[in-house]
Amino acid sequence: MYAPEFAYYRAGSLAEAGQLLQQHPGAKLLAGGHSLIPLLKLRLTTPPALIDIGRLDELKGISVTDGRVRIGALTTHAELAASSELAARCPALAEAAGLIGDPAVRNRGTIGGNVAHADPASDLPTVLRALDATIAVTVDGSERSIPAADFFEGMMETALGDHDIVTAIEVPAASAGQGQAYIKFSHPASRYAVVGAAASVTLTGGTISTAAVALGGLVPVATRADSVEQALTGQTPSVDTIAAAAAAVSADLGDDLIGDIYASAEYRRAMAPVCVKRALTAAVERAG
Amino acid sequence: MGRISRRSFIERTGALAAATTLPTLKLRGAAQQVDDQPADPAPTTRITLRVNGETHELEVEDRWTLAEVLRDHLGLTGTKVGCDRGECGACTVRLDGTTVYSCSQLAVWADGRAVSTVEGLADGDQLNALQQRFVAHDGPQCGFCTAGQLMSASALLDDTPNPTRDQVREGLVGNICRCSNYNRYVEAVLDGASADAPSARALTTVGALTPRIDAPERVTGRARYTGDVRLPGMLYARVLRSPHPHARVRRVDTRPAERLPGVRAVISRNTCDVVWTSGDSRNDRFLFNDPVRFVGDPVAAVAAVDRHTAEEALEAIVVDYEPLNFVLDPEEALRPGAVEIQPGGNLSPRGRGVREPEVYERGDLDAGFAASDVVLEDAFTSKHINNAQLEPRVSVARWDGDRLTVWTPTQGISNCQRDLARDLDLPPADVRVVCEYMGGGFGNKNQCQDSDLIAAVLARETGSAVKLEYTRKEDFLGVHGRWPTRQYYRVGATRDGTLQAIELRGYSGLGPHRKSSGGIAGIELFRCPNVRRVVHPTYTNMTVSANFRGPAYPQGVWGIESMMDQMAHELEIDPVAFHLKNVSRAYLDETPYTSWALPECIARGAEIFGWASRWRRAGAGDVAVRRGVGMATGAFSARTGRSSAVLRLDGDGHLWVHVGVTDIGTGAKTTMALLAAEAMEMRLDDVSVVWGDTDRCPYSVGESGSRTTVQTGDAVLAAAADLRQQLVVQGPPRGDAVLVAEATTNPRIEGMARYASAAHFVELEVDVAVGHVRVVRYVAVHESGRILNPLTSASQVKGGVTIGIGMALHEELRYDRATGIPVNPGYYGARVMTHLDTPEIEVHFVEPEDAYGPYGAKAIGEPPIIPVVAAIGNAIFNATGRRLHELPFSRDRILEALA
Ligand SMILES: Cc1cc2nc3c(=O)[nH]c(=O)nc-3n(C[C@H](O)[C@H](O)[C@H](O)COP(=O)(O)OP(=O)(O)OC[C@H]3O[C@@H](n4cnc5c(N)ncnc54)[C@H](O)[C@@H]3O)c2cc1C
Ligand code: FES
Ligand code: FES
Repeated sequence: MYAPEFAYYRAGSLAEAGQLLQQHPGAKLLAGGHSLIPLLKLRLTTPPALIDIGRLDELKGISVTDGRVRIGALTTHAELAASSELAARCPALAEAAGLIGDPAVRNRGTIGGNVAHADPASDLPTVLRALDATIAVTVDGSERSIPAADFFEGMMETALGDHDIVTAIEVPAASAGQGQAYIKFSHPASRYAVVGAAASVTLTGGTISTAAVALGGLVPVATRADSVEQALTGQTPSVDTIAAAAAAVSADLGDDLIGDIYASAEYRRAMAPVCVKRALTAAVERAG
Repeated sequence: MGRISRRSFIERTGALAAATTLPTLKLRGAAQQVDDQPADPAPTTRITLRVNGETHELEVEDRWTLAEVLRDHLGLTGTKVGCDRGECGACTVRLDGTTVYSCSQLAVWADGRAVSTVEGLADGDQLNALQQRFVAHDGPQCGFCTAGQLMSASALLDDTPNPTRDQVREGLVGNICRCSNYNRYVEAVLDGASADAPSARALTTVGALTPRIDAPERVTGRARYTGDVRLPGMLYARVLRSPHPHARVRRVDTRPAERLPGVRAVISRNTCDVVWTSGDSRNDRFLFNDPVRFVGDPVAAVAAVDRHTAEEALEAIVVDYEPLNFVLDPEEALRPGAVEIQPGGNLSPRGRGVREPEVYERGDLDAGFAASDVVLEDAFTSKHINNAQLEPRVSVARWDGDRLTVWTPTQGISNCQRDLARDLDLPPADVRVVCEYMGGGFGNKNQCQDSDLIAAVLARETGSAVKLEYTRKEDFLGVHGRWPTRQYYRVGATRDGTLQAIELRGYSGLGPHRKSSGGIAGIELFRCPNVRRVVHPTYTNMTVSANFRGPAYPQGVWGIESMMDQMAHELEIDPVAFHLKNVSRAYLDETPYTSWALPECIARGAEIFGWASRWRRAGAGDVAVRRGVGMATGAFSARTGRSSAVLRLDGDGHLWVHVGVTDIGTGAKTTMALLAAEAMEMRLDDVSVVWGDTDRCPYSVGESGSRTTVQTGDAVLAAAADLRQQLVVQGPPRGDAVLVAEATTNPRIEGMARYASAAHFVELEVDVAVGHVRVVRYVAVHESGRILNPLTSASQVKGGVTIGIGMALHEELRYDRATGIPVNPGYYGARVMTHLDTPEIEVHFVEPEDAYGPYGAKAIGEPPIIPVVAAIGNAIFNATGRRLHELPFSRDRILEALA
């Protein structure tokens, strides 16, 4: 439980953070530290240097332009959960952030660290997949945008290169008639997701015009539930259509389900439709 | 970011482990490159920290955590480290106002920021309002989690001055309390009128609600626990442990570690053959064993100038293992052909040498079953769970010439002293054991532990003081937990609901050492003419099992009470009526009790709970959330043993009570002071207790077996009687004069049995879609003779019940069957109870007259956990019509049972 040696650098600007990454091959960025520090202490990662980006104000805060919400990478879970702007425009994201861990974790953990870490038990990647978010990344001063669908590649694997820095997350603001919800069955102590489902449903004239559903916790990487979405689109929402659509999720799960001491893979498989149904029910209610 | 392997991912989340068969202990011993040159010093940075308003300029190593700097470098030891990995909340401090886990933040990161710790809450000796409420509501039991609870609560109240009960639970959810005093902490934050909170002016005599006399130390961070002890030139030690469940140790090469700069000593089987006597009553258990017999068995230990160097030294030790077959299940371990774990076989002998199971019999079993109208058979499997007290094991040892001082969290300074002297071949007078404060134990800090001996040996080797701290994971694997059992029952009764015969064939897994009895208790709760109980305490290659609150009871009572519940169901009799008809009236139907009010507890509980209107026959039903009620009973006998007390009355009228107790969280010190105050007719404020140091205290039997109050308390009363006699003869002492009285007692009770008992009632909901069980209401009625302090006694009950709920619903140390490796050591993995899991526990006392204990007191520490698992199991049966046969009643097991 005692970290090996590493050197600590505090970046004064985004540009400096980029330079430090270049100068110290193998270095890691330090944001909230809630995923990184435990790994260091268990000696499961041994970077020669940590580059603290925690004081870069340019990476903090939430702004809204042209129907897109831009969230700085260093915005903490607590800030996401408390933001009225987010509650109005991306309610599922605010809801999910409020369900993370406990107050101390929410006070320090950041959205950038959360997506860069890409833990399958995390909540935010699931929501970002459902909401078709993009991840803004900078390297050598140039910024590019990666759709969430391409960003999350596997269990703790992302499209980030060694010198990439996540600067912001961009999410389309909810339109009229759109309802969102995030439901998770969590590990009761850590609150990490055992099964998480994010749903966004748009009602047009009483029928479901678009439905987006994503799953996390039980699959190695946050995934869209295509079968559920197809089963819903064009339907009139009712208890039965929702239940039938939720049941279709079994086709979206694949074979590589996560099982652990808290919940077996079979248990998670059994819970997926229950969780999806609850998320859809809430989303439809909010859409109406 | 760089890729992190699946392996490391599993290690990190802790909760996500059994998915694979990968070892969770780091496999060490691979050939290492050894560098003889002194290593470059680790990178450091100069920082400024504002702590509790005071500015500190410090040069810190970049890798140091904030907790390390606060505790080790600024001496602010009020902040505790319970897990060192963001799981328990003991280390919670506020940083620029918000709470953070100081174990999971780097000190450099906090540069320039404002830190507040528990030490900053009080104004000199004046506790702040929240601290006062923590004292008045009896928040701290052991107090190890208290600083964290206070910091989270302060932050919550700053944001939300009038929180609801649920907001308090949410706000404090990251703060685990293994004493499980959650109800009290929530009450303290709400400051609502709790049924039994003390009035502003509590009387200070027996029977009044009295806050603990040492609670102010615990809410200010002033209480000094063993981990807080720092001595000049002190070295840090770490233990290398076996990654195999069973292996020969062909070779241990410690030289590469010895060559590392900063390493002062490495010991292993090569150099150390100290036997740890209290680690095994049947076999020689060395500090370092060959073969190693469980994952976590110590192989070597190092002492180095700091923790980081010690950690590196472990990685440099080369061990050549020859893996052997292993067996985890006690029944399998007894089958022919099973690998032999200890010489002579896997059935642990009754005495040294008598290889037979433990047998108890009365009446004629065959005749009993022949006379029965209904005979039920069933089997139950309970699991190993860890005591998980919040303070991990830590020992500090120092030699002054030939005299050894050991600071250690122990439930018995006197027997720890005796054990150390015996194992190190020293005269007992040359061993001093000190335990000022300790952070819980629940049975796994009895006597002397191997860490005490290892620290002592390393201190002797190096000539320096040595501190040995176990990590949370080592504490889970290297100390001990509750023994797992398999229980086969046959029970017969006649139609009118009269028991005729009870048979139990049981197996308990001890791990590879006999550290306790491995018994399975509970049958004695029932009247029955024909009984046979056969128990096989068995060696296995799981981690060692021994005492944990009511050692043999909760699992055994679950088994027998499940049978009784089923019998009542088959006979269509209300379980309350069935119990009232069949519960014991004399111990083993033979020996009278000193006092006994179990039937009254059952009747009282049924009335308070409203059993008559809530209970209906178990049934399936088809609602999504099913309600059910259940009840169960329990009884426990305080053990006996010799204890002494010395009372000293000063010329200025102050009374000093010297007793060799420590205070594990039960309030032993407060109880001793109360008894002395009562007996001397003095105010509690005029009484001080001197405790926890073998140089300053007489012998005491130790805080185990719920016996401190009745045994050491008796010695206090005897000494007080003597002192009063002296007062009559000599009058009160004046000036420098003192009056001293000393007494040694060992009250035994001939021809009678002294049992405390309880009846518990629970109502719960089962969500049949997800298998989740929610406890809606819990009523615990206890009889423990006279209740000396209703405040702390009720806290004991609340804590015991809460731990029991965790045992019922989620706790288990799981093993990978293929490798014999435990996969979930740690708080998250083992799923101990949290603020959010804990319902309000309603506590009631029936107070029968008892002629024996001090003022008629009986045991209270262990009974509360005993009926819980059974009551919950019975309520789940009542709700769903399904009986679960394996612990814990986890969500997947419930769904499986419902399928
Ligand atoms: C007790 C506990 C409970 C938790 N419960 C939950 C939960 O219920 N749900 C949940 O979703 N999460 C949970 N978490 C994880 C938490 O949300 C973490 O804070 C988060 O996953 C990582 O964010 P961080 O800012 O702490 O990142 P850090 O730990 O600082 O970094 C994590 C990784 O991301 C990299 N990184 C950080 N920032 C950037 C960036 N801007 N660009 C590129 N790479 C970057 C780092 O180099 C590192 O490799 C929990 C954590 C703990 C300790
Ligand atoms: S010690 Fe920091 S959370 Fe447990
Ligand atoms: S008082 Fe909370 S852990 Fe002991």
